[in-house]
Amino acid sequence: MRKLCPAVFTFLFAIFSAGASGAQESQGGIDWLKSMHRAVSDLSYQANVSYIKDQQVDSFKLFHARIDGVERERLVSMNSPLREVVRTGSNISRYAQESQQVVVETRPSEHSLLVALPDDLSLLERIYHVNLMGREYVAGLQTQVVALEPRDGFRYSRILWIDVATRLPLKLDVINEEGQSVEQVVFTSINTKDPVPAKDLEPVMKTQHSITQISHRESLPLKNLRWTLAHVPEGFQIVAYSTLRKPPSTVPVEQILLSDGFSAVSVYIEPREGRQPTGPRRMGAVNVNAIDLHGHLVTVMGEVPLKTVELIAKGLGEKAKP
Amino acid sequence: MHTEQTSEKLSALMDDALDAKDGLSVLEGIRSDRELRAKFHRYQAVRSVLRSEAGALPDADFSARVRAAIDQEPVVLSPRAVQHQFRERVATFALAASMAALAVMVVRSVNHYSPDKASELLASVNLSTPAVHASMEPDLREYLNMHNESAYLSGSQGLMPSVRLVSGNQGR
Repeated sequence: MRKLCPAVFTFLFAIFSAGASGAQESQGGIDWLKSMHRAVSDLSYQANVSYIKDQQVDSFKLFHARIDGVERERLVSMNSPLREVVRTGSNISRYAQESQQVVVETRPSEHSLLVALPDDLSLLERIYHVNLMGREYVAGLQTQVVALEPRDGFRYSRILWIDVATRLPLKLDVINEEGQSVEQVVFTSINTKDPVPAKDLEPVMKTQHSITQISHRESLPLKNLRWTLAHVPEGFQIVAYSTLRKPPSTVPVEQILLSDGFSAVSVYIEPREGRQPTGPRRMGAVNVNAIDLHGHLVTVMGEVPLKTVELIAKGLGEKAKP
Repeated sequence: MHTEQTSEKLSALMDDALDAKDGLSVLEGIRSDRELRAKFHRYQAVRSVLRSEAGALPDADFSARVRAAIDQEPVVLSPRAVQHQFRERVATFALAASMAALAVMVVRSVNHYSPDKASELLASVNLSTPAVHASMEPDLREYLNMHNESAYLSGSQGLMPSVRLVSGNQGR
């Protein structure tokens, strides 16, 4: 059959096409994502990383290694305010110079994870078009570009630049529903050859400052969930249910974390106590909607379009008591 | 709400992999359907970001120019009459010429890249400013931190949640 206006689409779109298409290309994209997930977890690397948002650029140093089977990672800011995040296995510690605090959190054991994300990344195909988009250079290394375009309007597009040699993601771009880049992470340099010194996996602030250690999260089993979520876009699952404490308040806040594997949404529920919900808000990639629900203040936030947080907030209800 | 089939056809159209009948149908949809037009723009933006590193995003008039060009393109939903073919061919070449100018512009941008310019490119990334800057109340900032911690703990989103946690830019 004759193609439509071949001259037009040859000129305009041929440069966009990556050769393969359809299911074969999608499968190729999934394979790249799978190998990327393995590389991120298994390899040792140290890198300079830039985070770009709202026309501001922050720079970090990243160290990652797997030692005796335990994954360790440290991310530290290179400019004020000095902050760092250190992860050892399932523990993360967040240090902040300005507050002189370290927040320590522990991920529930694998068995108590409420709903594990699918190991089978091909399930992502149900919610994203996964396309291979050719090869480009990032930090002087050749990368395969993989684009995730949502099949619906409830999440953002993502573009990943995956190093052809190591399969590490060297760049990630998050693009909103208007086609605008809302945040971007770029590796400006990376070293995968030299072992990561043990001292670089330890927090700097731990020894330099007097730190107040606080922990305020308690993970709960899903059977304790006393809320229903009537409107959740396809692909989002509950991945955590916790209670949080916000000192000096002694009233716990419930948090439900939803994720589709790339986008996350948190639902916070607490007694309203005379406060007024702020309604919809937008903070860069993150959208927020706060509503009143039978005397509770419900705040839904996530790096998703506003309509997604509005939909989820609208669908929240309280379970009928037995 | 568009079906998945419509999205696939749109994607196929951009890959020049659609036959004439379906192509015309999708083009008509783009012209008449605001939602589909927005999706078309989004797809183009994604691909443009991929292909034009230095000038990261197409300018605001890009899709309008494409739409205007599409509007000029005769849409024939019935078998073609012989007397129309010359006019259509002229229109096609005119459209092709305007598209060629755009294509050359993007290709130049792609070819402009060299590894030595990574930092320069980074500094020149053109990110749009969000329409609304919310002043961050303490509660929202704390919620945002907790959200990023949770996402980081869930291990599902790679580096992004931890970067957000450490960034001084987060919650500003």
